[in-house]
Amino acid sequence: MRKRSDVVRMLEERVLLLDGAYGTEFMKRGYEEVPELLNLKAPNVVYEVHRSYVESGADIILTNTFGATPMKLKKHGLDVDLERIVRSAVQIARKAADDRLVFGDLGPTGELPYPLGTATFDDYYENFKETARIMVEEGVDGIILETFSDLLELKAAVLAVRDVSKDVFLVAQMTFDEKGRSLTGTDPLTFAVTFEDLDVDALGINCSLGPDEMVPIFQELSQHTEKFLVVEPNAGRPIVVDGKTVYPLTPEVFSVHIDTFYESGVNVFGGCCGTTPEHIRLFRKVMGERRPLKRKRRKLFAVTSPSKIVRFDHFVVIGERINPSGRKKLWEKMLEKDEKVIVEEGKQQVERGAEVLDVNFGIESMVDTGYVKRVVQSLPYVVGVPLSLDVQDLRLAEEALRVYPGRPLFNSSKVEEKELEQKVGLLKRYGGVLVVLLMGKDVPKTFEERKEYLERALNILKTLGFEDRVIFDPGVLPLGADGRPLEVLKTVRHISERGFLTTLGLSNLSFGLPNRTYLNSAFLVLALNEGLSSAIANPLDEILMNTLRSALVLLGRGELPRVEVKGDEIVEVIVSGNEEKLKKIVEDFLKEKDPLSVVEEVLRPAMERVGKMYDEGKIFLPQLILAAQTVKPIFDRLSDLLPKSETGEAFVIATVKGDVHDIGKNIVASVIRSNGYRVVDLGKDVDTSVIVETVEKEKPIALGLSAMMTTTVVRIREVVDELRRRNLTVPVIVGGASLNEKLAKELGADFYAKNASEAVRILKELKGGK
Amino acid sequence: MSKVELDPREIEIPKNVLKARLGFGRVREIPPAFEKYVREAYEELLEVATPVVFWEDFEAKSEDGKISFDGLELSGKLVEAHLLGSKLVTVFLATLGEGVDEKIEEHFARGEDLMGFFLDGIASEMVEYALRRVDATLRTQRPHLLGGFRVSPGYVDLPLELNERIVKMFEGQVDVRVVQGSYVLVPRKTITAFLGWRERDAKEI
Repeated sequence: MRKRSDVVRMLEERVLLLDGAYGTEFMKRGYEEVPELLNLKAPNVVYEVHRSYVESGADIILTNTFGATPMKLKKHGLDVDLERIVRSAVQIARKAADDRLVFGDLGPTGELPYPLGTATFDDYYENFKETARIMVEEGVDGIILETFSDLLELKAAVLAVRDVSKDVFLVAQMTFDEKGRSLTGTDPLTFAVTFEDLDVDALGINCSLGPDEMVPIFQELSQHTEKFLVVEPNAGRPIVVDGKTVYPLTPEVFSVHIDTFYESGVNVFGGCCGTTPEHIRLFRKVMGERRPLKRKRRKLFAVTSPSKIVRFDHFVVIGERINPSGRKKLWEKMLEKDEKVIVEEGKQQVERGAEVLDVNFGIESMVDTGYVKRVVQSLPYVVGVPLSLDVQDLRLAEEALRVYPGRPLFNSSKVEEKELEQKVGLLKRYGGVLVVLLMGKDVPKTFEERKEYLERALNILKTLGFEDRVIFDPGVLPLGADGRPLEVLKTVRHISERGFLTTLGLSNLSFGLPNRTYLNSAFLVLALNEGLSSAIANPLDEILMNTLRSALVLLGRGELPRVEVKGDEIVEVIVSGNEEKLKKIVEDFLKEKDPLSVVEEVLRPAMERVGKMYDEGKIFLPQLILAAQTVKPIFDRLSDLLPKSETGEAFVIATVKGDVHDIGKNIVASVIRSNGYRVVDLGKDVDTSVIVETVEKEKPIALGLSAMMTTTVVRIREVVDELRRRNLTVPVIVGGASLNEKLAKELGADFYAKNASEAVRILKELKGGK
Repeated sequence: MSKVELDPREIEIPKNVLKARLGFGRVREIPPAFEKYVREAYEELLEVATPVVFWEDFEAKSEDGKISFDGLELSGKLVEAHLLGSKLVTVFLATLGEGVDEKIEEHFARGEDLMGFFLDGIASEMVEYALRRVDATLRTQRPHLLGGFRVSPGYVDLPLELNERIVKMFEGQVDVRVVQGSYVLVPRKTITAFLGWRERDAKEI
């Protein structure tokens, strides 16, 4: 058995090649029974298939144990043979492998988790632990968990393997459909964020799709994890030929995709269903000897459920109502182990704007642990959103975190070394984000006291290597008990300025007082103004929620719930490229307004809304281009109707000397034109003198320069110097693939625009400043 | 020097690669309203593109962090990672020809920005996949050699100036020029690359 660190070292050196399919190879040889049984009945056949992959150039071969777990074998009445099957499988693979790596292969049980099915976390855990134990005893070099379609089952398998051995290399893989979702709704981003916390070495995707369809899903995964990456596409989608299932991709067609996966950061490449030794032979040749490419993870702060990821890049409402404190009926239902009432409470809150649900079980010693586990496992599947596990008892918290299907919030830990250590320990093992309550044995009253707690917390968290997985709660105390809300607000500001996220248990403030809604709402607004990032609050409180929405608008935090563009007819017409209909709309406006008003009050604002939709990712670049293209002839027509003095400010644009890349420049010109500016497009590879002379003549609102290559960006400096030499003070906006904000400034430009809509925004600001 | 002319219809561009290149990376399918434009652009490209790939092999020697062949001496991060130690280096040049640039410009001149943008994007992928195809064929034809990762001038620290040298290698065979000072290739849908090869160990054959 190779150590985990040995396999890691190999993967740091080069991209490894995994083997192909086994089932189809057994069938080719006339064996159609349960594949795992062949480890006992026909070990020579299993050996032969392994050898074919070794001889084709595979670096890693998988044991013939995909279905060799108690739950799966039981379906065939073979569970009694588990031990013999698994031991034999590893021994055969080892004998065939020469010096190649042997990974123990484990597939899912085929049972859905409760409440979608009946399987509990513990069922899964015990199932995988048994097989993993035998594999490790037999000396596998790694274990690969593949083709999982549910987050919880995969998490249970990971924890089971890790409880068997901390020193075995571990790969966790999911399978996704063409829409990038697993059977129980997980997407690759949620998969990456959830498993980044867990002690696995590599994440991957296999089965269900051919290489072409798998590329974007793999790329999404690769951008959000620092773990090694494995991919095993099928040899295309299966088709039926003469009554037999055939995977259509030839080795030649399949191998065309290797470069794309390589460029996306793959560390282990292989094939799933339909992949044959002939495929692997060609993969070996095409793959050659490549060092892995370095990737950079896009960091994001988020919590997850199986089907939803909630990022804290906007204000997040954490629903507070699953809490029996002061709610006798709910408490009684909890004692009766009623799950329906929890689901109803959850659904109502989500419908009213909660993105995360806080779950508190009241007096924890009185609540059945099995009930807590069932609620924590099932609620995210039924209601969809992630949970904030508001559990204080450490033992119960561990049970809850263990069975939670995703990356939860864990609410909370006080700033006491031992408590923080224990709770961080749980989150390192089971995954999740910690709410740190800024109090210890004493409850702080003042900002200074809270600040001290923050420093203490940060010191401890730094030692634990956990400071990037926390949200701080300054601790709101009831007004009636000397709550001092202004001290809390100061603390929120201080934490936000330090770059950390914050939350508050909002309703504590008004505990025991009349007019709670108004007090809570007013305090929330004040806290928002100090930078509050989330609140544990009551989303059923309409006044509170409407106040929150309004305050977010007023503060310009842009975190209003997404509003669809339904009803914005002109934008719909523009984005869909319907020029005829746009003409008709404009003609109708012209009956009531003069041409200048139609430009300034109708078309230009409409294009601004289109630009905003593009910035927010609601429409894509081709739609922005089509919109600009559609509006341009209408603007041209309206310009003809205007006196020359009113035809809009000029904007001069050019690609600098030596650069012949003008697609980006063309798009920027087009979008700017469609926003009502008179664009003077000088084209590409333009001499500095021509650019400067045109600026002198046209007196534009700004000059746009495009340069794509590192060798041509220096021409920007030449243009700027020449402009300044002639005392031309026109603002210079630059853009292009090799540029960035810093370089633009170094070259003397006034603005850097990363895309067309940003250029429009800059022009609008310049216009406003005139 | 070797050369292969490819039928553009035979160059398969994976649909997801195309989707991402055309600006639809975050959706699963190209929206139906845009499919028609993409199809039209693709058809136009098939009419005007004349894909051709040239390559030449050179014996190479590695010493002191540098690799030399055909009078060239290359060093740097990219060379160290992917070329150093190669016994043989293949130099590639692939182009779709002048007609593609003209067609793209025509569209923009007519205000058909979307078609211009689509044609440009598809052409960029087509020239890349033309080169990949030849690259893959060479790897299968050379069972005793292991090919590394193909690297191109202008990426990481491999100087763009090398374009001038590569174009010179294939001078007289193909109408590709280098813009003075910027080393940009014209026709624009032209790419160049180096690929290093090492001998396989006996057990790797």
